[in-house]
Amino acid sequence: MTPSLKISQNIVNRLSGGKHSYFGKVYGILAKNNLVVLGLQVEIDGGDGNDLVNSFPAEIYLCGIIIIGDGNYDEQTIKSSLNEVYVTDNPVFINYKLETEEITTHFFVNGQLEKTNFAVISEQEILSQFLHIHLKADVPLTCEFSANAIKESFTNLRKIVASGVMSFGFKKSNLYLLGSDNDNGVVGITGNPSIGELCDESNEPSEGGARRKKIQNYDLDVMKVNMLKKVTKENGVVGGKEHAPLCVLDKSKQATMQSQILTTEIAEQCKTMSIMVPIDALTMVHRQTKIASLYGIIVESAVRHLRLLEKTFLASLGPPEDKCSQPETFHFYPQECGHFITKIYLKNDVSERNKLHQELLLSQMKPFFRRANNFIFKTKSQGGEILINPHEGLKPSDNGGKISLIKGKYSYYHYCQNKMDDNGWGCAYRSLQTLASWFKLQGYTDKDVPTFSDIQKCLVDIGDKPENFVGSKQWIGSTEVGFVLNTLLGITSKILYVSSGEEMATKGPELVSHFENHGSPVMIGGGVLAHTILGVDYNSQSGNLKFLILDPHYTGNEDLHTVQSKGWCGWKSVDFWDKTAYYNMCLPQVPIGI
Amino acid sequence: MVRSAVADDRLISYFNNVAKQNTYSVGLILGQSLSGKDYVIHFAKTPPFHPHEGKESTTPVLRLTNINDVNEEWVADHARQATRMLPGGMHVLGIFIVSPEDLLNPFSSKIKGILNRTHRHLDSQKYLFGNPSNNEKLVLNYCATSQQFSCKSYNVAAGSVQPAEFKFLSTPIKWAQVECKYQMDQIYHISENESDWPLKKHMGIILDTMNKNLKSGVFLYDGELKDGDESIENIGKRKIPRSNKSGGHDDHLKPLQEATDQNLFEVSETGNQIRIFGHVVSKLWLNPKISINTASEAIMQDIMRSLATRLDMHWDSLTEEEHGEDMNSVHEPPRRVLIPLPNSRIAISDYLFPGEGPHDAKISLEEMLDIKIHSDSDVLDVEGQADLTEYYNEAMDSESEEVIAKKPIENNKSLYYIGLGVAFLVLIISLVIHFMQQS
Repeated sequence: MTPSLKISQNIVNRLSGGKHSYFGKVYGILAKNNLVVLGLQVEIDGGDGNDLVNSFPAEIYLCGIIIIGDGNYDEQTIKSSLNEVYVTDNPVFINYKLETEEITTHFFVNGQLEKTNFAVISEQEILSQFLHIHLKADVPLTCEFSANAIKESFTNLRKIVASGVMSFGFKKSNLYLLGSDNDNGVVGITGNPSIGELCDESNEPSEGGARRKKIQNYDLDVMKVNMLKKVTKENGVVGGKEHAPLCVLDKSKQATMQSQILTTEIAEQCKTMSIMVPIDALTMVHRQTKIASLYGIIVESAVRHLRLLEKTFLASLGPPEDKCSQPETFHFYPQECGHFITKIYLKNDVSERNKLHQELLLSQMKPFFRRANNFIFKTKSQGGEILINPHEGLKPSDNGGKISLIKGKYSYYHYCQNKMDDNGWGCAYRSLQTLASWFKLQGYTDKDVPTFSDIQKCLVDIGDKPENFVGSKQWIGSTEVGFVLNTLLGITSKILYVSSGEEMATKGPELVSHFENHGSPVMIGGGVLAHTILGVDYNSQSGNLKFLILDPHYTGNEDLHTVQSKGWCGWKSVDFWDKTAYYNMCLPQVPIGI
Repeated sequence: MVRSAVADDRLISYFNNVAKQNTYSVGLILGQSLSGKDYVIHFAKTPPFHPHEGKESTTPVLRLTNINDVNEEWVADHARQATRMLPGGMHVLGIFIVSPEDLLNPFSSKIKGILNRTHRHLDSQKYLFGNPSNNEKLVLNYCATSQQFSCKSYNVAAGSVQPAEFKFLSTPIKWAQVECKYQMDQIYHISENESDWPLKKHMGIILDTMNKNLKSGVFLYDGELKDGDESIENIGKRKIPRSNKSGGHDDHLKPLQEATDQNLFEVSETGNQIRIFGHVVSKLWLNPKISINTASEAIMQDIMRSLATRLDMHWDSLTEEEHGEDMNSVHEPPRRVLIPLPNSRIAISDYLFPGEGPHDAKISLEEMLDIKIHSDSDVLDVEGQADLTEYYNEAMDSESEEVIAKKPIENNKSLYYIGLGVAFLVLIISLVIHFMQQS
């Protein structure tokens, strides 16, 4: 039976902006007889070619090809390309006509292209149907330090991982997947629930989780899994090869070195590499997948990740083969993509982010694959963590105008965090921290959000404040915020000035333009209190302006419900501003580039 | 509560025999201790003291004529040797003394001395796990004149003596048998600055790693994950409905999280490594009331005790020269054999060097545990000997049969095993448990 076809909204969005012709691959996931096309990769000069599949979470496969162009294509070429897509029985062919922005889709069935309908699926819907499994394990590996030995070692490692000796444990639920032996290979649970049920169950204890779900529908749910090795065998007959432990000391290399004068060639041969192979792999599965059937899927994710590691490793080993370093895995979740992309960066390497942006048809204006863009997986303990984007899920404003909001993520900094009582003087510092967090979370910087003393020290260093400013409880204003952003993060800011709160009503167009073009949070201060502006709702007909305000004066716990219901984050009208006070706004200007 | 100890009544006759041989005798009480109660499996008298070792045949054996003749060190070392032969979960619980007079009222200070010495000696052996978690040592006195038993418990830490009860039971003590086969195939890389260390030092560190790893293991009993506080007799009886599961018992998983921060990347100029492979057969007898956690601990202790014992024996067997040997070599420590105690299913271990057979176990069993083996079939060779020729062929990756002759020198081929070190992997240990219907 041919599945029904769905295409992610994010792909449609990316296509619609395009102007160039491309040939490319599409990646998708098959579940419940739906083929969901989630990702694409177009061919560019010197691109990654086949290998991006290992950067996708396991279960997402190459499922077809895409042509972006004038709508004409050579059917024979398409067919022969589709023949190579062997993973699925029904490869898909997507044709996008630039001129009309029209998408046509075909399935390749029995050597023929059959036109088919498709539905567009939103990211929310995808997240409601699928969740991610995050496997993390460290496997020590020692091998000769040469390309061939590394290749061989990784092949063997994959074989071992796939040989059935590994088990997988769900950290939260005390549940283990053993693969073979037991009834269904699952230990620690009765029955055979689905992964979705397990996920809901393990999320339960975190209070407010349910409420949050109502507001945001589905989070990006990630289940953490670790890898264990079975070290016992069923007791049985002593087999031919089994024996009591032996210990083999292999010091041969050294013996050779001592007894002979070595040529450099042999010396090089002796190099050994010891590495803790960090398996850090993602899988995307349908929520209704039975736990018992996950074993093979998780193994596949580990194998994929090992391939990715091997490739990165070998690529970095150029002659001379002595430069290599600990690989680091980064999982990126670019909002324009709506799926994970896993990349491995070696320390000190210069990665080719540019290519990746092109291949995925991503904007060249902002970074998605810098180290700092690394997706932050929620840690186990819910609550007590600083809130991210508390404005999400708020009731929309009722101004009826054009809503221009901050783009991307920020952390909500406010009074009395990290056990520091700054009530009454620290609001501008907190607002500055929120601004800095935005730059960090967007990947523009990998510097940590500056602390109060970082900020004060910075202002002393640049000569803006006297020495005794450090450790004091003195206020700072918008200009200082600009100085600090510039000095610590290299971000320039535009300062807007209004002489009274009433005048704020006239700043609509300028703020709209800021949020459209830069999308960074705005700090506002001046005669009175400091706040952060996250967006505006500007009705150009009535001239009415509303502000989405994040208030740093909140002293409570990190509780989203309180923050939203008590108005610490919410829409305010112009009379929110003090008529008798002047205001300065600091508008951080976002650099263009990746 | 008065400490109590029980033993099968078939063991009573042992004391009569011992009393016939000598007026004074000292020996060990072997068994398992569980929440204030001791379950005795065996008594073994300490072999006569040989003041000049190595000349046994010529020197007359010293007979004890008085409790003060007992050589404390000799008893302590007997305890160490005997503990090596015990499965995990079993310990030297204390000593027995056969004497013409009552030695416990008043409590002889010599006995305190022996017990203190024994406790210290057992404690000093890493991975022997010689002392049970309490500091109590039993003393059972058989007065040959009155044919009466009396028993006391001595607390080594406090130095205090408490009354204790000792009973011989006509109904057999129940035991649950737990067994597993622990597989090893691990490579340990020797870094450059460690390359001149003797193998013994490396192995010490490797044992530490193994012990750490075992501690972070996940134990499955009959393929089931059990609550650590449950007793093992409940295994297989009922499944815990999922909803009843409490959250807080995943202690044994914690070490992994620490481990995930591990960053290791190293390129070294040498390819020195140690590979350990083979399996350890572990068979334990545990009181069915014992908790899962305690049982798991006993299994770890069994594996570690067994590994440490064979290595110790191996080191003792090496000459000075061989210790310092700094080249490619294969070390084959003795293997474990199991010998059932008389009239019991509980087996104790002995270790046989390559080439040794069942008859070689006879001597040590007779001397250390006072057990006579009547037939070779009583000695179960459970682990098997490695076929080294086969090993060399395989490992040296050679085309010809000349390998064996050339093995220490010839080596231009790369010899890197791709083995998974288990460091930082959590282990799943599967155990089979059955309850013995002892008649």
